[in-house]
Order: sequence, then structure tokens, then C-alpha cells
Amino acid sequence: MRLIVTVNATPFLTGGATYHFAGLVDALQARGHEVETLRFPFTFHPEASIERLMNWCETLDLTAPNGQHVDKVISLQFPGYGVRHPHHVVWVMHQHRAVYDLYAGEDASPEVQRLHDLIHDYDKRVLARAERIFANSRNVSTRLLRYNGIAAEPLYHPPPLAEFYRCDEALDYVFLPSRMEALKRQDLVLEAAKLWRSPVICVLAGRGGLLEQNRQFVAENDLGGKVVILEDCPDAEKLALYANCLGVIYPPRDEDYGYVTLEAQLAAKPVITCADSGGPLEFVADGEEGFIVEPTAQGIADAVDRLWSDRAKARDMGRLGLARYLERDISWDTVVGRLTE
Amino acid sequence: MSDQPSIEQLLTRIRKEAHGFAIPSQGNPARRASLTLATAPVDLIDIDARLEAIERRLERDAASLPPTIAELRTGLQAQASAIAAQRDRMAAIDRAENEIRILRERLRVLSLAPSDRDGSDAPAARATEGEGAESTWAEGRSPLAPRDRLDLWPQLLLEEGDVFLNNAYRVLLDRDIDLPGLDGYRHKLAEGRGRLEILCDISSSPEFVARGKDDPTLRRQRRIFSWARWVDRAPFRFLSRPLYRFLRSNENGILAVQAARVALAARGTVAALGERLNAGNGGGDNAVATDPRLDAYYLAFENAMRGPEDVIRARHGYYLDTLAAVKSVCDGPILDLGSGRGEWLGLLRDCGYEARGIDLSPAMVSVCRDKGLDVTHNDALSALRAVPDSSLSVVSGFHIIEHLPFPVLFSLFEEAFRVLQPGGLVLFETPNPENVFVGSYSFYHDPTHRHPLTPVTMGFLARYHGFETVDIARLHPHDPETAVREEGPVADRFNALFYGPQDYAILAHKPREEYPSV
Repeated sequence: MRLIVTVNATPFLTGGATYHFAGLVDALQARGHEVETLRFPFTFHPEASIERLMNWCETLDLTAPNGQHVDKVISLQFPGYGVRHPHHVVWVMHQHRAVYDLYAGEDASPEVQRLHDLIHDYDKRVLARAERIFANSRNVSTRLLRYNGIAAEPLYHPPPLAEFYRCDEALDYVFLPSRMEALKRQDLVLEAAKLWRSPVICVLAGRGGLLEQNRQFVAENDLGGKVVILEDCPDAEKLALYANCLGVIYPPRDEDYGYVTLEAQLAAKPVITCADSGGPLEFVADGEEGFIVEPTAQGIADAVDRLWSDRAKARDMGRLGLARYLERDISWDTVVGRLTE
Repeated sequence: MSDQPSIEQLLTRIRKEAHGFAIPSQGNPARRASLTLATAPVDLIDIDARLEAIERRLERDAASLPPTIAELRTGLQAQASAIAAQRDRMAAIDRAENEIRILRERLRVLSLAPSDRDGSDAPAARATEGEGAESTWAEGRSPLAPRDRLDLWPQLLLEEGDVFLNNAYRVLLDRDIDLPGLDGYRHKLAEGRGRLEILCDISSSPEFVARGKDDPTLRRQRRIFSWARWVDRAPFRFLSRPLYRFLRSNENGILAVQAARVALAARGTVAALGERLNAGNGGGDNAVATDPRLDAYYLAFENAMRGPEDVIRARHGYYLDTLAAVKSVCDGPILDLGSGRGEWLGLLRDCGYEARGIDLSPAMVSVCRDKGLDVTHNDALSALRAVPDSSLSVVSGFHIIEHLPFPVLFSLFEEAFRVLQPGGLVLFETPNPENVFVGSYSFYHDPTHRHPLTPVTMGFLARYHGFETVDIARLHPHDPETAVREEGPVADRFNALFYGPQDYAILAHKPREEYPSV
């Protein structure tokens, strides 16, 4: 099949979206499809740049560019899913959250309020044209239904390097690899590190806007012996960190999907997550694959102490996580099958 | 915090571990070329470190025998299907138990009837330890099971508590239970252990083995039990849980068969009693409701096919809003035609509404009366004709109109209109033939059904007789799980035709005021 995959380009800003897109293209090519990728340069500011890109995407007809027949277009993101094709499959990674679940309502600036109306209209209009709509996760699917009245089937995909995860002896540290951003709430974990009483080290890996602030917090609170921040963490090291940890803390605020949960389960490790964390809650039940706690430092600290004090339970929860992951049959075979059927 | 390992030691160890495993590519995936190229250079890895890591793991694995992923997955799948099977069996047990309850009730009603006066074959068989004890125990007339009758072990599952334990010893070990045994197994029952598990336990004893007798089914169950007990130890206790659950689901399966056997036997007794009663009464005519044998059959049938009473009662809750609206303008009582087991009347009573019912079946009438409901033996039309004009708030009938010939149905609407107060409601629920399965198949389960009635016909009939605001409420669709799981117009239409609402209700109001004359 000849396929075009559309996605945004945000140079030097890598994260889950980059892996998701790269994984999809790899998977399609590995199954013999001809794939062209179309990347739209996306900037969050100013608001007018978003509006221009929306308008432009909607003018793009990809049915047969330059007379070249295209069987299907797969779009992953706003506003790229506005392009036109008779067999257009949209697999919504996430919408423009600033005007949805993160929208400040009356408190938003006039520009954002205007954008809010434009994007709500745009999403309703262009998504209605799609042949099929999938969502990255149940959480994303729920938001689509709540805000736009659109039904989208959740379609899970495996995290990168899924087949290379392993489980090894649990050492006394907890692990959180994630970009250092407000929504990922590393600050909550650092506060918690002050509170847990067990001799458990906290390993944070990742870069991002809040890296310096987090470093400063560690220094100011004399947490040098308890917390380590790895700015640079190659894949091999990340896998080893997963394999040997006691458990994984993953407390984001309303995450769309969240590879970290799945990666922890692939490494058969329990996950501590929060009641408002979104995506992770689709994979973790309290006391089964890990713990679900209130989004407070004390809640997380107590959960870490529980992991440390009952290692057998921690191990069993990790194994249950792996078993449930395998039962879900999350694979690129399934994904490619659903997207191209 | 002196006992905390140093971060440097930890990171050194992690980096050494990381070194031992080949990863296809590192760093930013946007930059990486392709997976296939990157997996090749294994020889670049430090082989020693890798071997060391593998050896360490092997050593540890040998010590703790962690289950492989494949085993885990198989176990979980077996568990999932066992749970599904168990759910089915529980439903079967519920149905059977319900049936037994109704049949007992029926037995009681029949034994009170005047023709059962001779008492010649009163259940007087005495519990003995000799021959004959088997049948008296099996029929529930003796608490003591016969000794040394291994083949009867499945029936033990119908019993509970100490009776179960003692009879288990009698059947399996040919003796009454001793005190230590009683204490031990009482404790296990209290812990929530399954009865099948306890039978397996007893039959694993040297005493049982020494007797040299066994039963193939019991042996199979015992094998599961011994696996469960074998793994029920510290590091892999979690593996034993699915096995115990499996055993529990088998227990429910065996129990379902036994319960069905008892239900069948009870049904036979009912039929026999009914026959005698009928002979005593000099026989009846052809109508179901006047032939006690058919009457008993119909009660059993209703129970089997209509569903448990609490489910029906919960379904009826749907109408309570409409009812409240009607009761806000009409103060008359409610008349229910064909009250059956009285689920609707019971609900109305609990809501504080004044309601009475009629039924053509004496068995149903006595069931309702025992519940304290005001139900009399009558047919629908005669009952309505006896009611004065404009005196009732609601005339209802659940699954009755499909039993009536059309002239009767016609008069029924006519009479209902006459007896209702302005603003009053007729409510008739009936199978919905828009659902193809219902119209062509399940409607005919009931031998006393005449023919399916369509919502269109019923709507017309109601309006013809002067009813207004005629609503059709389509209810009780099939479990969505059973529908075709596809999207698109064909699947949608198919699901609507085959898995849509199985019943509908016609809800029609008598106009509140007379039309002003022009």
C-alpha cells in the first residue's frame, strides 16, 4: 500500500510523539508498505501561527499529488489531520490540549479564547471527514467524546525497544524517566523523596525546561545522597535502570498515554502513579500492578515505603503487570492491521 | 542514613549491567537509521561482562524458579476462561435454585388441596443406616448419607457445614467424622475453602488411599488440588490462586448438575401430585389455567423462561417515573391483569400505591396471596367489566396481551378506556417482533402465546379506542456483548434487527379533558 503519514515537526523537541511517529513508520515499512512522511512545522506561539497552519492543512488534498496515487493517509496530530483524502485514517495522539483539558476558560487571553473556538470548530469539522478515527489511548478517546462528541476506538502501541526490556534483581532505588516539565510533576517526586523513610534512592532521568530548577531543589534540600538526576541516559542504561529498580514512579498530570507505565510493566516492575494521572490508570489498578495514590508528596512517599517494606509484593505486582501487558496484545502487528484494514 | 548504598556504587553497577546487553540503537530515534542495521554488531559488546551477567541471572533463577512468561500467560488464559465458565454455572445454579423454590411452593399448595386427604404415601420413609438410605438421602428426607458409597460424592456438594463434613466422611471413608477432623475442616470452611477442595483433601488422606477405592472424576479434581497445594508456598503462592479458583469453578459445575437433578426430581413429584389432584377434581377442560398439571407446568416454565423475580422486578422499575406522573393527576387504584408471580404488584405496594391484580392461574394466585398481595382468580375481561366507569388510574398487563384472541384484545382496550380516569394510563408490555429472533423464534417458547403483536398494530388499536399520547417504549435489548462487533451500516442494521430490544410496552393515556364540542 502507498501511504502518507502526517505528523508535526518540532525541531530538537523530542518526546513520546517522536517515538510514536518513528515507530509507526518503521512498522509500516517493515510490513512492506511504501511510506512517505509529511511533517508540518509546528510552533506553540504565536496563536496566529497555529491558525495559519490549520488553514493551510485544510487546503491540502493528498488524493493524488502530482498524479501519484495514494492509497491511504494516516494522520497522528492536530492540525495535520485536517488534510483531505478519501481514505483518511486519523489516529489521534492528542488534541491541542491548551484549548481542551488545559483550557483556562474566562482566564485565558483573548487570543487563546479565539483560538479555542476556532480549534473546536476545526476538530469537529475535519474529524467528521475522516474514514476512521482511532485514539492513542482510552484517555484521549474519552476527551474526544467529552469535548467533541466524537467516538474513537483506543488503539495501543508498544513503546520503543519493547522487545529488549528485561527484569533483574531489584536494588534499592526507584526510577522515573521523563521530560522535566510541569505536567510530569517531578517536583512532587522530589518532595516525596524528602518524606520516605526507607533507604531508597530516587533516580530521575531526562532533560527539559525544569531541569535546573529540579537540580536546585536537590541542592537546597540537601538531597544529594538520596536523589540523582541523570541528564543523559542512553537506551542501554535506561533498560538497565528499569531492570534493576525496586519500582517506577510515574505521577504525571492527566497523561495522554505514557510509555513509562508500559516500559515498567515490560520490565516486570510495579508502578506508583496518581489518581489524576490519566493514561497510566488504564494499565494500573491499585494494589495489583502497583499503587494509585493521591497526587501528594506524602502519598507517593508512603507508596515507596510500602514497596521497600514488602519486596515480595512489589515483585508480584511487577509480574502481574507484565502478564497483563502480554494479555493486552499490544503490538505493531495489531496496530498496522487496524490502521490499514 | 548510613546504611543507604551510595549513589556512585549504584550507578557503577547499573552501567556495568547496561554494558552486558545489546540494544539495537541508542539516542534519538529521529536520527537513527534502521533497526536491522543496528542489531548486527553484537561482537562489539564486552562478551565477558555479558556472560557474567547471564551467569548471575542463571544462578538466581535456579534458586527461585520464577515462572516463565509463557507459563504465566497460559495460566492467566485458563483462569479467564474458567471465570467465564464459572459465571455461566452460577447463573445455572441461580435458575435451578429458583426453580426448586417455586416447585417446593407448588408442592405445598398442591398438598393443601382437598384431594390430598388420604395421606397414604406420606413421606414417612425413615432414615436408616441400611439399604434404602441412599434414596432417602438423595431425596432430602434423611440427613445421613449412606456409608461407603463413593459414587454418591457429587451429591455431597448440595450440603453445608457439619452435615456436609460428616456425610463426606461417611461417603469417602465409611465412618462418621472424628472430633479433630471436624474441628480442622470446620476451620477450613470458615476460611472460605471450597467444599470440593475439602473433598479432595479428605480423599488425599492415607486412610482413603488405604481403602483402595477411587472415582475417576474425583481423582482428576484431586490432581488439580495437589498441584495447587504444591505451589502454595512462599515464593510462588500467587500461582496457586488460579488453581484454587479453577477447583472452585469445577465445584460449581458439579453442583449445577446436582441441583438440576434435584429440580428434575421435584418437577416429577409435582407432576404426579398434580395428576392426583386433577383426578380428584374430576378433571378439567383444555385451558391451561384449569388443568392443574398444565398449571404446574406453566409455573415452572414461567420461572425458567421469564427470569428470576428480582430481575423482573428491577426491570419494572423503568415504569415508575411514568407512573408517578399519572398518579399526580389520577387518584384511583391500579389494576394489574395477569399478575403472574406478582413482581409488579410487589413493586407497586413498596412504592405505596394501592393496587390489585387478577390471574387465571390458581397456582399464580396462591403464590401472590402468600406474598400478601391482593390478587383474585378471574379473567381479564370479566375483571374489567366489573369495574365502574372512570375509577382506575392505571390498567397494566405484562406479557398478557399476546395470549388473547383479537376480539378479546379489542374489548380489553375498549373496557380499559371506559374504566380509566381522565389522564389514566394503560400499560401493556409484550415481546417485540421487530427483533427478528423474538418474532421468529423466542416468541414461540411459550405454548400459550397466540401470535406476535406489532407496535404499529397496538398503537393503532389504542388510538382507535380514543387513547392519546401513545408511546412505544422499546426495552431489554440483548447484551451488547452478543452483538456483531463491527462498524458500518450493514452491521448496525443487522444488530438492530437481531439484537435490538426484545420487548416493548405500549403506554397510552386517556385524554385529560373532553374535547370541546365544535
